Amino acid sequence: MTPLRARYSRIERVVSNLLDEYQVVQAPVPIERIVRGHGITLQSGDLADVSGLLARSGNKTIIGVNADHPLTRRRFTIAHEFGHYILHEGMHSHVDKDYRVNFRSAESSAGTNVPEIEANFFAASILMPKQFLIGDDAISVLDNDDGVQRLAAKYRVSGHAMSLRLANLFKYQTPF
Amino acid sequence: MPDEFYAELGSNIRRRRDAIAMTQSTLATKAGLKRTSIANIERGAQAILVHQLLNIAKALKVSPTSLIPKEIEQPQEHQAVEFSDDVRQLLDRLERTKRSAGR
Repeated sequence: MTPLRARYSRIERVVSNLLDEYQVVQAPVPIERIVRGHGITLQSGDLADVSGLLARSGNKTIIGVNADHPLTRRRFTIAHEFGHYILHEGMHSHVDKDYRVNFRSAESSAGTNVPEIEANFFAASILMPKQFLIGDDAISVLDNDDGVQRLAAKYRVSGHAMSLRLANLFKYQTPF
Repeated sequence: MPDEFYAELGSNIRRRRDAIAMTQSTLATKAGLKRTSIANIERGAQAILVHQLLNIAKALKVSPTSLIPKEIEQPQEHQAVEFSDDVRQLLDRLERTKRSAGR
């Protein structure tokens, strides 16, 4: 049941329902509260070169995250594994090493590795919801590095993740 | 274990609802319940009647049995998934080096 191409609009709807359900109306999105609210056990520890993992068996699900990574990366990892949990029901365990945050990369247009692309898109969408970014007038900082960094700090994501998300959402729609 | 049973039934309903991107309100309307009942059912805080389960399953376009916790159908040992060695090792390692995720 692996989808052939990433289901972007469905993922946007799933994320928007989750934010409604947990009554999240502004950044930073409390990703840990949402994940725990789903009955998932979050564990942080020494995972060496692994960023995160998802393990579910019976009715118990664990998301593990590398405690040595910075907060912004841990948040992205948690959101990414949670994306696998929500979107990929048949996936019982999953280990992510150096997953690429570069959603919609050349790899995604080639249609390879759809679950990873979906999990990354889910993570970006839930940590940096489109409506919140519009409310924060993110379009006006598109080409302003300081502005992108300020937004990244507010959303508790890396500057890299924020600039990719902004480019993905707004870059090709704004008239210049 | 009624509590666990309803908690899992609730989480199955929620997972399915999430998967088809349906809101709690929409599900409530379709199943003839209040949104707060759906919230309670999903949390496992409300035991539901059989006809309500049927209405919810119909609204979610799945069979009622697909929402019922698996332990009812088969013993737990068949249900648990065997993890591969690397996953088991990582889980052990996590357990040994546990730190608060919310630092």
